[in-house]
Amino acid sequence: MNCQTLIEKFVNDRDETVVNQLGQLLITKELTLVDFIVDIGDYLQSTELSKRSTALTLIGNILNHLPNTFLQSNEIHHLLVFIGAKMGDHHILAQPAVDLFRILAKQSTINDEDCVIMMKSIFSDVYVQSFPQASRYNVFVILLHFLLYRLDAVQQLGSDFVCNFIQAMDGERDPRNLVLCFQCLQYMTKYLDIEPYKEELFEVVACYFPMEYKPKATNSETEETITHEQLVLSLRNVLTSNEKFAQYCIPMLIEKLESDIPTARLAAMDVFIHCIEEYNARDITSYLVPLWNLFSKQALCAENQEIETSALRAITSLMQLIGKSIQNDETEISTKKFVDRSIRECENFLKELDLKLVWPATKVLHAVARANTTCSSLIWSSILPLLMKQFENLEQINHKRTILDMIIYFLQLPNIRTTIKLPSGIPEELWILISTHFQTYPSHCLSLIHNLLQLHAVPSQVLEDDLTKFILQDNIADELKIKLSAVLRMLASSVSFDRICTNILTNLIQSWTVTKTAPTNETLECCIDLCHNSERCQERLERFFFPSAQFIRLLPSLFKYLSPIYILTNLFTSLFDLLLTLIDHDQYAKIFCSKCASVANESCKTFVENFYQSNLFNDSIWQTDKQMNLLVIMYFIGSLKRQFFQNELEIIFNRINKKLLEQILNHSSNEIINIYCYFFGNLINKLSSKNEIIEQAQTIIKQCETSLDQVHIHLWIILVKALILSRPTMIEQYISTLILWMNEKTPIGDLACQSLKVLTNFDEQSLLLSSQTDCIIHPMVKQIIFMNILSKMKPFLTNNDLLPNQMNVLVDLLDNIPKSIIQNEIISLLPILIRALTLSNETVWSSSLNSICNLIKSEPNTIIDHIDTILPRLTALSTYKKDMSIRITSLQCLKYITSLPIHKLQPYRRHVIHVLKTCVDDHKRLVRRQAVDTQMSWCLLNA
Amino acid sequence: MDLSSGPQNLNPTIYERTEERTVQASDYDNDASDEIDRREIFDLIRTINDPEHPLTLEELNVVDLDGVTIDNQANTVRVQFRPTIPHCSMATLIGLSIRAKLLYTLPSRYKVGVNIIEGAHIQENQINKQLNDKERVTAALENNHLRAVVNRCIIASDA
Repeated sequence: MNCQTLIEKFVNDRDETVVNQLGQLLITKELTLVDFIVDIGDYLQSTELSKRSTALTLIGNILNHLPNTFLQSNEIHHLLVFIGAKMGDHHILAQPAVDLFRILAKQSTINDEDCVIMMKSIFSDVYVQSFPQASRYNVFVILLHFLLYRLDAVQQLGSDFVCNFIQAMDGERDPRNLVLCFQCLQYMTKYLDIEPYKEELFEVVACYFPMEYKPKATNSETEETITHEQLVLSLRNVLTSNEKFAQYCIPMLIEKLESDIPTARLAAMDVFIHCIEEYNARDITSYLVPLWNLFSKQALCAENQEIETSALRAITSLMQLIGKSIQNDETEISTKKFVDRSIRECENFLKELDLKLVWPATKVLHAVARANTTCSSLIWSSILPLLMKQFENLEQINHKRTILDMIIYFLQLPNIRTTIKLPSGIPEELWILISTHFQTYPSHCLSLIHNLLQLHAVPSQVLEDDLTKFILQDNIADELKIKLSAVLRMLASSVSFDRICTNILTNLIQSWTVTKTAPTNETLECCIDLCHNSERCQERLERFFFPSAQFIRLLPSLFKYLSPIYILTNLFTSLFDLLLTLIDHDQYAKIFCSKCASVANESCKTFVENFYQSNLFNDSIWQTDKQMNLLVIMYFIGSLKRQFFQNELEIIFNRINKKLLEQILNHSSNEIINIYCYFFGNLINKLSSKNEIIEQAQTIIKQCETSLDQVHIHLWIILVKALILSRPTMIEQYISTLILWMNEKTPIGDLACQSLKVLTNFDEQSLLLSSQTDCIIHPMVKQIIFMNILSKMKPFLTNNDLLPNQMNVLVDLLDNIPKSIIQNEIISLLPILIRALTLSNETVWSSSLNSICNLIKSEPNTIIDHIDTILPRLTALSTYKKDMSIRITSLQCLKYITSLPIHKLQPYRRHVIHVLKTCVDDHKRLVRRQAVDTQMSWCLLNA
Repeated sequence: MDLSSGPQNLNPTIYERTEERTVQASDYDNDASDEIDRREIFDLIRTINDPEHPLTLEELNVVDLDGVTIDNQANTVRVQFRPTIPHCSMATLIGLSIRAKLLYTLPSRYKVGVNIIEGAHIQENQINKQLNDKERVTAALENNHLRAVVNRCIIASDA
């Protein structure tokens, strides 16, 4: 088929396949562009408008198919001149012409002159705003493309471009186009001379402020929509992009700040916060005071948290803007004058502690202080002495507390990275204040010490004694412990506090060496806190090294400061005997062993090798009296990093797997068997990159299937879990077997149900099979396991006589799986959960109630269809005598249900309120509390 | 009662809230029984909102723990409250809110009495009489407008 016929086919029948065919011909050079244009010429010149338009569309469609390197520079030029002429021909032709322009603009060989021609043609031949949305969009795409990649060409047009652009976008209302326009404007204000048209440019943008736009709900997910945030952000970027806008923008912001509409005020503050990068204070000198007044008013009388936060940030920004400009005492713009103004305005509020403005005023001053170092030292030097004086004069304890809170608040300056010194005299006075009131207000004083240390205020000698005395007293409250620990770590970390740190440590050590007693847990904890220093850690630690269970609990926090080999040879080895006595029952001992091994790297190879050679490979280790040694070894070996010890782990596995298996099958204690199984699983999991290990594991799993008893099933499930964790797809091989076992009405069924719990439980209790011990855990493993189990269990769900144990498993499963994974499934499971509530098996009630409760809380509407079954059950359970947590949860459910539409609840209301009357008289206070809550919700249903 | 005019006490003194009741180990023991005590009654009423201010009765010191008495043998509860100013026209409404809240939430075996602390209001006797007249309280709570106002006072206590 030749070119002519194809073109005819398109023009007459609109056959879209033609586009592809012609495109292919052009790419394979069977057809030259010139011939094609000549062939289509008749149509382009046709007297019928529709034919001219169709021909242009065809050219556009074909060029769109070709790569953007296809056209030569001279071809582009000729096409451009031709299309330019078509633009003026008829308005119907303008749209396909703009499409073509867009394609040509993106050609890589287009030269600058042609770009200029194109832009001139767009600006002079047509009126952009008369186009439909899609064509306007194309125009802005072309202009943005030129601004981004052809800036030289745009700059040839200079400020004419700015003027023409203003005309082109004036009145634009479509959000998709606006985002593009704003992007263009951002580049224009940056790279073009906007001076002659700055006011017009500002006006054309400012009319969109503050942006109010609600995106339409789209039907299809593929359709791209513009969000409100996108528009707000791009508009803000334009407004804040150039300092020349300052003189117009600030009056506009002031106008919005004075309005009653909170969103307008928020938007204005948002723009202000972001404009300080570009704007200069000297351009807006006369507006600074009004701005200050408006911002402080917003902050002091904020209606909500959001406005307050924005206003405070705006105040900080204002002070930063002022701080940027050159100033001395005479200039009108002066940081000092503004700080004085802020103090003058807020000072009185600080004195009236019973009034509500104390904290807003404190926050305003703090926002000022946060701006820069000058501001903070000015605020500190006037406010802190004032507060300290007030503190001494006040009598009420809660007033004194408030003052301390304020001082602490003023000393928090998170944004300033550079070191700032407190004004002279103030730290000394504060230290005195701390030491005189440490006993009375320990919590406040500790926070204050922390903040002062952060500001590098060197404390006096008294602090050592105060802290020592405080630490050595008994019964420090938990919240104080946290603060104390933060203070001690702060002291420990910096070189400048080295002396005081050493002194406190000496004092503490003396406290138990002198009396020859064992140190208390708190003291030991504080000593450890004082070791948090990368250089001095080892030295300080050695001074009070004291093997105790508490020590084992605390030591891992120091590991980051110590070398791995030191940890292994000095800490792990010296604590080994103690670990033997603890490993059986103390979780921390297990974690300690595991942490020690996880820090081991290349440098520890010899230690590790000696360790397992002399311990694990020694046959006597398998005797019953050495059981504890074996446990310590297992937690240690099981936590070695694969990265460094892959080969060693393989050697260990090959050497001991037979013995280990033998132990598992013959041991008497279930707990020990459990740990052995996990260790076995741990090794298999870590070595699962090796096929021969997997094969071995699979053989063992097969063997377990032949003799079904408790131990074999347990080993089976742990090995399966070990494999699945690294290769989740393997679950498909095993899950059917497990389900089959679960269906049996013999003890095997119960055992299998228990096993399923092992599979779905990702808690820490299985330390040896977790990412902490460097096992291979596939990131999607939870989802895959759950989805598989659920799909296999679907038949159960429709089965009405679910065994109690199976129900138990299902409900338990729901408890274990993160809610986000099961969101879609839970609704289909709801009938089961509700059925579980009516079972005679009481053990499942609690967990199914919890699941139901979470569901009603997040998506109350899902319950509507089941309301007839669930409400009577919940009311019955809310008086269930045996378990108070069931009572509380069902009362909670009843409360959440009240968010349903009232006509659904009305039939039950009397009955529920009646039952609740008995619940508020429950013999447990916690139940009564929930009952009162629920009762109120039901009583006030239609209030 | 004129609710449309502006607040009478424009600048009330605000008091600190008491801390939440600490939960003890015995609270979780289903076999031990906890009697309803003064603090529990106080917890019920302290979160009621003042009709005029966005503050709770506790923050305005209208009610405090000492004003609550309970006798579990005789099944009686007595609450005394202190209007912020002696001529407060809201006193009856506050009293009614306290009554309503206790009516909704206390077990029905208790007989409840709500009074103004002696000497705290100029119309003390009149208001006390109104508040403790069962018929009048029920009638008041059946009045739609009044019930809406009372509900607004006690509903926010959930938040």
